[in-house]
Amino acid sequence: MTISVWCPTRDPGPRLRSILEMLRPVADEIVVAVDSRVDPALLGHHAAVADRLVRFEYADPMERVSTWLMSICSGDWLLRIDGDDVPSPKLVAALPQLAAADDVHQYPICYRWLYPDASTYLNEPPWNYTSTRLLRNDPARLWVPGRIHSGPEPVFPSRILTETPIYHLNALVADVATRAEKLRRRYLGGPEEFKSFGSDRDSRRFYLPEQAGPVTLGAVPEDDQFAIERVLRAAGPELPTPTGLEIPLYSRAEIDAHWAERSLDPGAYRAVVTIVDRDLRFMPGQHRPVSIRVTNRGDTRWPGGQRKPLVRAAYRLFAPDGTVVAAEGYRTDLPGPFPPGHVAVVPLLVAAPDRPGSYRLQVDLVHEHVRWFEATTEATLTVTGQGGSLPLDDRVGQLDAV
Amino acid sequence: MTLSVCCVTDAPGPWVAASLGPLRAVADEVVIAADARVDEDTLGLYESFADRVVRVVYEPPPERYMAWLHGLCKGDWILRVDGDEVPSRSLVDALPGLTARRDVLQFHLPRRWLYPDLGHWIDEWPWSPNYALRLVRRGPHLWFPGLLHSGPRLAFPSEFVEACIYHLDTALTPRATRAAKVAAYLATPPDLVEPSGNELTERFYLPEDHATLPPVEVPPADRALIEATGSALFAASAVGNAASDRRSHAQPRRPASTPIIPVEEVNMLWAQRRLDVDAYRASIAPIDAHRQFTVGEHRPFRLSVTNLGNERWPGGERDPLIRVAYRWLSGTGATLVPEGFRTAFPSSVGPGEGCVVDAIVAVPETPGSYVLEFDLVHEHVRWFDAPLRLSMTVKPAFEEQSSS
Repeated sequence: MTISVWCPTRDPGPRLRSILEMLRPVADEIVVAVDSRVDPALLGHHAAVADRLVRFEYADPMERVSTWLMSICSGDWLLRIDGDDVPSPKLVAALPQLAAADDVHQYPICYRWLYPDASTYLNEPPWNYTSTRLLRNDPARLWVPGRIHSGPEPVFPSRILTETPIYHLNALVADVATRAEKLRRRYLGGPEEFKSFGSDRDSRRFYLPEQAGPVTLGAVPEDDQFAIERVLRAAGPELPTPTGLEIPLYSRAEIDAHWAERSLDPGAYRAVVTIVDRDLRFMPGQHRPVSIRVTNRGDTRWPGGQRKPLVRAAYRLFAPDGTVVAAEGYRTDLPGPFPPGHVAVVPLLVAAPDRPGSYRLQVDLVHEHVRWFEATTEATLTVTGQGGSLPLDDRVGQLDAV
Repeated sequence: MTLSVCCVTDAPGPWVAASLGPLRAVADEVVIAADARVDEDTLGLYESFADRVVRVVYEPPPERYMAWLHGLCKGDWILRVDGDEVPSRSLVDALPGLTARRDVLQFHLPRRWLYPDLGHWIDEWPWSPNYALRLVRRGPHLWFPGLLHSGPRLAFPSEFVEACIYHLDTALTPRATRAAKVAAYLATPPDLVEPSGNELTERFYLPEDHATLPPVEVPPADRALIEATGSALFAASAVGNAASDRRSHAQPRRPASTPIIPVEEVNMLWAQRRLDVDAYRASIAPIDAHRQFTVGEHRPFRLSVTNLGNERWPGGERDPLIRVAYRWLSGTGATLVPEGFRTAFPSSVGPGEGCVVDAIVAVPETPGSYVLEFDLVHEHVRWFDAPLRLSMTVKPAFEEQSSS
């Protein structure tokens, strides 16, 4: 099993190089993505340690680059390290074994905020949390919502690592004024639509422990302290970028194509929907799935499930006289991803009216809170006394008898 | 990506050979779990085309065997086909493409119920659509609740495909036999049945009483596959009656050489197994050093939990559902919150293994001194009575502290 270390950064080259060199013996690939605000002529340290060095056009929030950056990593496992993180030597040593496990998808790793110096860390809430930094590069299971303070979507099974921490240097390498400005710009003043629920709650304490009153500190083990101090000592001028080295600059559009919170253009909203089932006779009030065949004719991948952009199947019901019976029928999550051109069946959950009769069933796709696709297809749904009833929580394919 | 095909069956060997034969070209492995009642001749036929054959003592429900059976398979993907099913030509052709996919974990396959003969299928509800989760990627996400009429637990992302499996039971088995099967299903204890799983059982198995639309013809390409299986079945049956033949093997004709797996071994992987008292042993220790919370917050408190019992805890929301829970007690020991939030284990924990758990805690709304008691609970069964009691101080809200 191979490991890719990935690092989005605007941090000083000497420090970044010192951090990533710790991981060099165990990483099969180190991918460094440099913020476009950094001078591209001064990336010598970055180039010295990266197997793949790229630049990206920066825009808030920082989390928008995660999915794109992971997509250009080739390892079986992905480890994120920031330019102000120091992996403990124990973590570095454990990585090959962790990546060899076949019974786990993710490792939330104990994250320690160093304060007020390299010998101690903040050992109480909210600073003593775990961060899912090591995860399997499985396109079926890997998902990053891309909101501020959001990490990868949790996946079962995972294993929490407490003995192999990652140390966070923020309170050591940034003064109070810098941290207060970061807090104001990124969290307290940031765009509300990109914030994770409750993410503001602890931000003030996180970034300004000086204002938190008495805090409980834990002692950093000697080996870890040695590694941290070596990183902190890494200083000096930036080095020029090696002559002839091509460093691709990824545009905002290329990055946002992977970002869950992006806006879609009209070319995304093209689809063909057809109804597969022949039998559309329902009992009064019956809830059951109707198979529809969906083709993505647009230029954007629909991720499916509850993932954004949240594209789902939906329906409307009309009485024979055109009266709207259900203007907003149940939504059905797409069971899986639909890349452009993909065709698959979706079991659309339909609730029949209570009153017998013929109804017009109109099926469409909807990008929730944005728009309908207007790729409607229609069929006649008949409510009769025949058939059986299924409860709302019934699942497709439940009867899998041997 | 490799493919294992697996099957639990007591069907006649020629039938199973004909049913699974088309898959041989695309499967890297065929695994058959034979009902221990089948005779050695049948077993020999199984062994002639399968890569691995095991014999197992059968006890209902059949879903008892699913986790164990899939555990025998080595492929990246596993396709389960039952002894009374035939894969369609389009499914066989699609399998290499489906198993090359890395962006999904499961494929739902439509089952077409053949009736009244091998040339027709029932294209009306509830027989159509009747999707079953049969093609699954092997991995730690794969889990079977083991309840009657349940398949693997749904995992996202999945895909519904149109290439089908044909189910021959309603075309080949006499009505009386199917009615007996329905009766047996309905007699299963409710706690071993998938919720509402038996609601449609009678309708499914007795289409002569319920189907109202004309059946649809099977496509010619599939007709040949199905008839090959049907012919094999009739050839294997002295009286031309599949059901009576299948059930005539109550006793093996002669001892078979393949060892028989006892049902106890299967049960070790069955989610619905009963745990004995030795399962309920654990120790809980704190990892977090702090003993302070802020009023009203919901925080994880990190614990180290060790399984000192003799059973594997599956973790997550899987049965047997064993989770971390807590109570809040007053300083004098009075119970203030008897049933706090539950936290699932993030992974399975075997006997003798430890696990770190971020146990979510809802903190009381009133500042003061409390005792926070953690324990494990087997939901709806019992507490472990392995409590960890910690004295905790609940502080006023951060804003109040700041202003003061």
